[in-house]
Amino acid sequence: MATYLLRRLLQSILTLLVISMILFGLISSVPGGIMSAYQENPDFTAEDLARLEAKYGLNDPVPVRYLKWLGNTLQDDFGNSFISKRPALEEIGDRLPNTMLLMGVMLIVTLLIAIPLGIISAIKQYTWFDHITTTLAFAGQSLPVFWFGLLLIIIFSVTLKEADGKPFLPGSGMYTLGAPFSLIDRIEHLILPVTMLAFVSAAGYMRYLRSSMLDVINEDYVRTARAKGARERVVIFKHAMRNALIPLVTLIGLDLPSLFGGALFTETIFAWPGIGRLYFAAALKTDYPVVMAVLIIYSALIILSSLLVDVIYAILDPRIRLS
Amino acid sequence: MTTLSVPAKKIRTVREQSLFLFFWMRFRRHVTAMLGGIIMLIMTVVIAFAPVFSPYDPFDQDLLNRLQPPSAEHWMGTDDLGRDMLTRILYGGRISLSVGLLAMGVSIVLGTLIGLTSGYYGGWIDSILMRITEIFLSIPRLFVLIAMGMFLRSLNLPNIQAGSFMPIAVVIGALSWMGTARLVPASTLELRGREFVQASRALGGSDARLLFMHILPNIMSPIIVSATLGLASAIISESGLSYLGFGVQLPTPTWGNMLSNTQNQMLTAPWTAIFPGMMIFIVVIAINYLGDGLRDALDPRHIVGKK
Amino acid sequence: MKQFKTLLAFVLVAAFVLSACGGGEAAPQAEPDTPAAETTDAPTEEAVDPNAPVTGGTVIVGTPQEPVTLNPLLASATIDDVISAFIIEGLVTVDGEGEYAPVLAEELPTVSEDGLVVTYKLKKDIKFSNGDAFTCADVQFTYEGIVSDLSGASTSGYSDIEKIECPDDFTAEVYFLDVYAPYLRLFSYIIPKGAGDLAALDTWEYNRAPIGTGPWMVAQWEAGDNITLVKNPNYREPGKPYLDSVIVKILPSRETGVQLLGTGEITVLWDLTEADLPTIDQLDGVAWSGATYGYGENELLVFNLGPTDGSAPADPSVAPHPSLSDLRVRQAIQYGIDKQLIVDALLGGNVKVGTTVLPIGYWACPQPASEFNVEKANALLNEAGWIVGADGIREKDGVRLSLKISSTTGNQLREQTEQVLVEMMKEIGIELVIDNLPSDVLLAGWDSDGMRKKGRFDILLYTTGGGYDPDSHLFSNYHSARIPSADNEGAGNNFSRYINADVDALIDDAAFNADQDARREAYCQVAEQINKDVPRVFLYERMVISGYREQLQNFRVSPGYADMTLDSQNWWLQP
Repeated sequence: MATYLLRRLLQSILTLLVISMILFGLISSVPGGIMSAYQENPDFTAEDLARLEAKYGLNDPVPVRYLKWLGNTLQDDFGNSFISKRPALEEIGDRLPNTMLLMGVMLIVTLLIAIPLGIISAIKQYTWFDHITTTLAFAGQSLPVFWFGLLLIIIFSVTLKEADGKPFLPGSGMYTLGAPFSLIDRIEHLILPVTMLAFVSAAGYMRYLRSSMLDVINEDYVRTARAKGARERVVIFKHAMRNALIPLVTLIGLDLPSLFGGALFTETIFAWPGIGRLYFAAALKTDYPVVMAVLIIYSALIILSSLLVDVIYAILDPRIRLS
Repeated sequence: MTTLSVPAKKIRTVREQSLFLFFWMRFRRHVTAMLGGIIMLIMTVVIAFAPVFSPYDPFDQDLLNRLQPPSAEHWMGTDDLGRDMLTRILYGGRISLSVGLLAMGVSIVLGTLIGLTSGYYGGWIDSILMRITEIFLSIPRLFVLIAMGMFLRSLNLPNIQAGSFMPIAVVIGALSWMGTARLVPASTLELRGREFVQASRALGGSDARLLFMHILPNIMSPIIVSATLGLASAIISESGLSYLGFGVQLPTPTWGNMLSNTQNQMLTAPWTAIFPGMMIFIVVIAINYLGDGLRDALDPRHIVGKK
Repeated sequence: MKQFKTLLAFVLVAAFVLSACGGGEAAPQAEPDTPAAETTDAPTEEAVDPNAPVTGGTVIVGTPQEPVTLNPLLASATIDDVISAFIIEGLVTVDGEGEYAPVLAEELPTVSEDGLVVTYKLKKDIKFSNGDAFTCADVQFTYEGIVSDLSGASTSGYSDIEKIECPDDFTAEVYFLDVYAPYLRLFSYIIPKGAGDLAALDTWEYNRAPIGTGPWMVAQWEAGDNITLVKNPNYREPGKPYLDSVIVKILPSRETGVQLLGTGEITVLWDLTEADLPTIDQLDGVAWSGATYGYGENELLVFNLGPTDGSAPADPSVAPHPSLSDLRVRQAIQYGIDKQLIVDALLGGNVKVGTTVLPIGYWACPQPASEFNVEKANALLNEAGWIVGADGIREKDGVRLSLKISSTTGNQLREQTEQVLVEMMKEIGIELVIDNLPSDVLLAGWDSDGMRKKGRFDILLYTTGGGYDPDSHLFSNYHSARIPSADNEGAGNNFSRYINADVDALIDDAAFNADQDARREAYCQVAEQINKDVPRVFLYERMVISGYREQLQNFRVSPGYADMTLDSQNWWLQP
């Protein structure tokens, strides 16, 4: 186990290093960056521009810049944002709670919907219930998320209105600006973005759970339990469900990094100040310290979570041996 | 020699025919898949013969009739330059589906080649290829797509044609082959050990011949299924990228770029946001159902429609 | 049976989706708990006069960009200056009528006989938001800050200053090395001497919470979401500002902003484009205010007269552009554009068509509008040897007349303009291909291989102009010394690679002429010559526009520095 872990960790670090090289090369080959903002202003003299360029260390060739970046990054310093001049990590830290709130609530809602629906539709295979839920799941998986978000706004924010002309549900932000803190207000602001995400995400979970539940129901030990006269309820909850939920761990584990990365489309459409929006704005401004920091942290989390999933899976399911 | 080859060929045809019949019988019973297939068929015909179904030109502007609501003349209304929405949706479908197909092609070819090589040769080749696959799996796809979109735009390609969609399709394809690449090696390895492959190898068949004549045809089923699902996700990727402004350039319509800039028209002209997205949704759900049916019909272990 | 059920389920879902799309007029549901977006704390006593200002309340200002910093010494984006104008004032400003006006100075500065000393009389009893008194030392500190090593501010004008002397606390004497004609544009902001150590400018607390003499100060800045401004307790006008607070809400896009302005989730939306106006006009309870500023900005086409291979020569005649180097082709393109149609159809007739590089203000040089004439365009192109080919596109020596037009992505108005131009050019046998780039890529500099600087384009579409003295704009955009090339390390914005010796001479002479009327005459000759040579086509005059909810009183967009923040101390909300 220890050797396996060590080897996987080393591999992960190597993977991350290669990723950082590729991404750095890609991003630093995009022209633009901080200097663009000054180019259009004729009041900036050539000397002003040269001084600013030196200030931001943009005179070095790309490999040198990469090595400098790597050196700093290893010391936990992702550099300062070109735009805000603040440390990239601080920028990310500011947005992270917002993203985690949105994605956390989304994940909980997703599981609350998907687990019961998945199990029931497997038990009641080919009934009305099953057909409707699987059809909805198919729809969820086929929706272009950003369009679904726009639809939600059209319906609940633009068309439906309160008596005083305010939208039925707020279509932007995390809370009503200028109003004192109110839990109800916070929840109201969460409804549309969470609905947009959870519908799509629950669809995937539900279909996955349904099929793994179906597999388990047909396994010998469940049939044996049934044959031995165990009550249906006991069979389902004690034998089948426990085993069907194991693969769910994989799915949740692989979704965990998105707690960091957030949902770019949702955050853009609903003006949610999270990491996805931070990243998109930074990318458009070729603010590479922030872009690189987000990409590298996100990649590291993806690698880490897949490692974690493998380990947990091995612990939960004794049939699997780590090699 | 000649006398021998004729019946051999015949046998093969008969076998293929029955295989196809077998598949068709199973597929036909899959109602939603059939429905998906029919929708796709209709869609393809309508899009291919767009001029027959719409009297308008997709580029013809009518600046005095901008953002008109749906009416008898314009079934889906007009857009921000007074162009007929329905017509643009039909022509936009050509581009959106082409991007989807091309991206899917790129990802399937890449994935299959990498998967076959990896599974057939094994050893260090396998571990290197699987490392590369892992690298691609470990990057946040949408975020990197945006970075690639920025990069593509900045290339400032000198000979770009109006409505050229090659670059964006290739980028989408190049970031979505990993699923296929992981699917293929196991079955390749298994087939490599089978008698008919061993026999062919003993007779001096080259690696390429073995791979493409013997192994590939036998692992086509999962590849076809993953291609279908890949098509659906490529269409969604294109629309998302175009929505963010990194897709096919205007005035060439695609379902994605028709949606960008519509958020400010939602209060006054919601139809501009509703119809293109609905097309994406319908096509993608149809393809997904088709893929679902194909998987069930092609996978002999799966029992269709029986309790 | 199973098939039937599946089918029905499918239909059900489809019906659900369709009904959702249809929208429909569902009964509005009352939910009294919902806090209103504008919490207008209604005054306890009923105002008798409906026009009397109501105190209290919050205005939410939406902006599609987040300010980078509120320190004018580090600002690089327009939004930085706009938001800091809520907080920071200068000695002199450009007011709501577009005229220079004193703010922290008693009156406009006086100039010595030789033109080398400019004297400001400062207002007394002005306090910064932190309680410090405003004196001449703050003027000195501001100057030191602008020319300091870490400064990100333009030093143009300030670099000509020899020293600043303070004979007393409320007099500032600025000594120039040379005559600096546009001296009134200087000191449009004042940084208090207590702001911090100039050697650590980048890390000042001031950068995100500046100390100013204006009506507002920063209470809280939630990165990526909002900036809350509250009353400056030391503001000089008693009882003002009327509002309790102004919250700057950062939005993902202008499109989102229009939606939120319509639903009333924001009160003001900064920086609309002219293309949004038809939508704004249709929204209930929403109005807009706009102004042209400086000597005017034009939305324009920039033609590349030189090579497009990125070689960027100082003299384009070594490798002239295959079609655009020919004056007749450029003229033909201008004849082929129906500018009035663009203005009427896309901009709701709210702006004027572009005619000249100097459209308004003191420097105005009115020119006749260009003619829309397809026959003339076709005749010119035929004369230039470009003959219509089989596909309707003109050709010459086997080269198709296909040109690339580039602008910034995600700007709906520009995308619309480009698409209309594509159709107009089709009429005269020219193919336009749109190839847009994110704005920072388009505007990239020489060292990062920017396409404008290196000349890798045929036609650009963007906005330029502005400023309050034409010298720097005309020099940098039309003078041959400002063609970006290896010779001048890529300096300048003469992306057309336009060379005209007369224009060069006029611009050079005017820069050293102290007689303002003579300068105006010279610049007008430049403007005329530019219209003859057509290195650029002026499509229409731009405005700065903001939309607002009608209950907000005294809101007006200024053609001067204040933009939408003009007189924000007088804003109040109609209950």
